[in-house]
Amino acid sequence: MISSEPLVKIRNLKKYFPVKNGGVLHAIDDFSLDIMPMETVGLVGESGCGKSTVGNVLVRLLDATDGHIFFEGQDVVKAKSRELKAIRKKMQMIFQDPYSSLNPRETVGAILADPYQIHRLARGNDLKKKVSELAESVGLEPYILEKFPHELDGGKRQLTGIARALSLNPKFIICDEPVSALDVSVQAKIINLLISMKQRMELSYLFISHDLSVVRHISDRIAIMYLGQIVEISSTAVIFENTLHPYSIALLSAVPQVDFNNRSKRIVLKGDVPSPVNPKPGCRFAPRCWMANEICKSETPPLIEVESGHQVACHFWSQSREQARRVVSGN
Amino acid sequence: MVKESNKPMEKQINEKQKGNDLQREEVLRIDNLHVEYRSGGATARAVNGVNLTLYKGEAVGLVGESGAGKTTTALSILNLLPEGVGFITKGDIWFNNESVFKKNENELNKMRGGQIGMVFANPLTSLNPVFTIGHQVAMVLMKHRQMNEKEANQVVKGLLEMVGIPGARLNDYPYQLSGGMRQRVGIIAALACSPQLLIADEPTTALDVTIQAQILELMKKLQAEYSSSLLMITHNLGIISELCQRVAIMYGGEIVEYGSVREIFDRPRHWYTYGLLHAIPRLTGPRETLEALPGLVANAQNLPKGCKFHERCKHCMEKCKSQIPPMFKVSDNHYVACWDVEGKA
Repeated sequence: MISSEPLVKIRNLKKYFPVKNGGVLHAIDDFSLDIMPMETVGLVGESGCGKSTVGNVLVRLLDATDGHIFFEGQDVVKAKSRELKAIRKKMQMIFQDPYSSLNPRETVGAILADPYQIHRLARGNDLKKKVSELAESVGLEPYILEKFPHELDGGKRQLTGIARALSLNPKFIICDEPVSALDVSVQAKIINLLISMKQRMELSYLFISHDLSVVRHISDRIAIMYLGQIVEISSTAVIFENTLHPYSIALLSAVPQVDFNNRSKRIVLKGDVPSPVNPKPGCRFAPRCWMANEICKSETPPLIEVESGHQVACHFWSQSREQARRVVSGN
Repeated sequence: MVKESNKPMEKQINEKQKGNDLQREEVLRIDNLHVEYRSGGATARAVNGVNLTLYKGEAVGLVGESGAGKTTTALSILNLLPEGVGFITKGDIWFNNESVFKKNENELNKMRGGQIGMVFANPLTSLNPVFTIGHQVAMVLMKHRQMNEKEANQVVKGLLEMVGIPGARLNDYPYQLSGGMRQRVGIIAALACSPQLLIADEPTTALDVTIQAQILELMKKLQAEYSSSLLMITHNLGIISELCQRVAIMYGGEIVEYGSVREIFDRPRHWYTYGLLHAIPRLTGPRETLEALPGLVANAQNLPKGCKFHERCKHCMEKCKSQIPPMFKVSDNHYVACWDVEGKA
């Protein structure tokens, strides 16, 4: 058993952005999540659902509007700059676009040396040795250290981003769409590296992605987000076998599958994701939901535990699977 | 049973199909196409001898990673290669048995948008930001169907509603629409004149899965309604599996494997196809370690000798390094360019 105390505890996290005409954009609304040591939690949702904002608020690239983030018991939301620097040593981030997240004016070697210098951990020959060991650990050849980011292909750039995140022996890494910009064959390499690094360095990941197949492959648990809120969360196996939220059901059925067998019938959602500005009361998925009722438009369903470790925010979770069968069979 | 053949696979398939399916009407035939990009003294051999035939009403997928030559092939069909940079050095493309390269500008413009519709990957850059969406779709109808503005607008309203956009949004500009809506506008603009052939170049790559599902269902429906042929360019094997009957796998500007989607996905015969299928995580079944392909996609400026894939292939033999494998026939509907045809389990 892994230690029972969560490494990261997110409690009622809110992030609102003011927009034109006095509106308020609810990017994250009442978001709570625990991440255990050595656990990978996948955070899935469509563009604009707030999943990247969660990552940015966790490392304080953005300040939370309300709520708490406890990392090893310390509240990140309230941390002062010196405390934050210490926290960020243990909490790192890997970005989607390794090109815009690497300084174009530094060589890979300099980029990888930065963390050690900023935290005054190494200098001179010791620094050189640390950098080359780090590069080797992710499979970057020594000559790459002399190159600038623009001279590298997407895969090598992402390896650089990963090496930088691993440099200070973190405990927790937020991976924000780390493979979305890569070709299939390179994507597999990066995913395999992330999995082996997790085991070798005893890491926890928050793996943010819109790609359900990738998330299924890498995650122990999966949280599905819709318009700033978690609508369903469970272990990976359970969420795929006993999907209960109508949005999750539609989302899983929407993924085009390679396998010809056990291909599920598709529930095609109508319309687009509504605006997160000044959300109406009630369930946020109700306007697109294929089983919405009067109560869904007025009362926000709470996230409740329906079986051990499986939470769902839907008034009608107990009927969703039966109803889904009826929808796809055309009645 | 695999036997080597010197005939281009298309010819073999054509002969075969002439035998057992006379109704199959050929819409497009790409014949030994070679394309080069020349710029600043460097030459990139983007397409190196592609053969592909599309029949009426069928959906064919063109799969490959970035730089495989998929988009270049598509642009060649419309004779839209960047002028002064992209050159067709060999081969021909036949649309309705007429050579695309022999058409004059007037005939080409008739073909583009009228007989062949194209949906581009990024709907924000392919729609003109200073015209309303209604005007942009109506223009196609006014040009190719000789409608006046009023008639065209009526048709556009109907088309918009068919794809779930209220007709009143006719007067919206592209920036006022969501990404999914813009792509649907791109699709109806391509389909407005019910073209015989629709080329879709990564049409859903920029979109969310639920919106992608909408677009895919729409394309299926429209394709059935107009019985147009579809050339679907994508790196997403799931989309191919759900939408297409046949698939061509491209690598280094060549088609390396070609035929029935089901047969190829169930039992790939090229090590590159095999590698692609084992590199992607699945939504069902046990979670197996992904097999990453070593190395990088072949560089079009410096293509390897022999099989273009040999430097990345775990099963590379001496022969592969020097001799380009011909197309072998695996079955009536499955062809592969790999020396190690029998190797795969």
